[in-house]
Amino acid sequence: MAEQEPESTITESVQPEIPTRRVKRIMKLDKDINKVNAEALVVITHATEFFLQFLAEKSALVALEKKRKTIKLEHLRVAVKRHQPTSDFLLDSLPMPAQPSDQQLLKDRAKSRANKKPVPVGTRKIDAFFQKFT
Amino acid sequence: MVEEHDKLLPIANVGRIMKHILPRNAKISKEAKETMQECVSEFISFVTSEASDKCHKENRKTVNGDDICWALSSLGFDNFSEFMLRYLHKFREYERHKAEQNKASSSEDKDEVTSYGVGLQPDTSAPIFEFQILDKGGSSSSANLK
Repeated sequence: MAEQEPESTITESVQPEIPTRRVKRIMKLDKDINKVNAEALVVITHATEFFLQFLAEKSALVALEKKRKTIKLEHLRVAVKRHQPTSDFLLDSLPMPAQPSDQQLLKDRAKSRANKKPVPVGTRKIDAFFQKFT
Repeated sequence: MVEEHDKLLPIANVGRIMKHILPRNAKISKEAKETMQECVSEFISFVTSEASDKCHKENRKTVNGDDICWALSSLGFDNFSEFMLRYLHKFREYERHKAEQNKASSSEDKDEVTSYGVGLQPDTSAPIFEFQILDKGGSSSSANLK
């Protein structure tokens, strides 16, 4: 099991945290792959854990730069872009970011909905005011 | 039929591994965690495919540990490759030792306990086998990355 270590070290144990059966299933999705021996499975599993930790760390760094406490997809995207080998195979697979104009529209709608408070009983509406004079 | 979740690693494991490396107060959005799941599956497929291609070219049917290490290096993950080669070397030593132990116990021959620099404990059923990759002066995984 991985332990809590200072930031500059990564501890690996012979018992990976990722289930090797699932890793094997993912590998088998590719029909071109014939056989994979036990040691290869263990190595790829550990490498994957290492990769995950690496991505997490880099994303956290980006979030920190942007003064955010929550690591978001956009931080992961920047982290991927910054590491060429990762970017080469991963950038196109990342989900598309929501368009800024769409996001703003959604935010505005949500805001106006939230602002609609029920009016107290007996309140005159402005329509009534104008109707008086017609 | 392959279920969607079969193509991904369990999100609980993904979340746990991330939490180990991040500071205590760090939060990860659900979207980011789910994307991480997909990223690691891509990584597995990508590296395995590269290793498999090498085997095909060399007329070998079975991908082994060295092929994975080679693929990591070939794809630009030199730091990972270096780390995994060392791990592989120790793993093979451990396997060899285990095989020798089994042989020795079956022939009722008590060998001396050999000491290994990696802290192997052959007596325990779940051996503790740890070693660390130390920082080379940058952040833990950025050293020597292109």
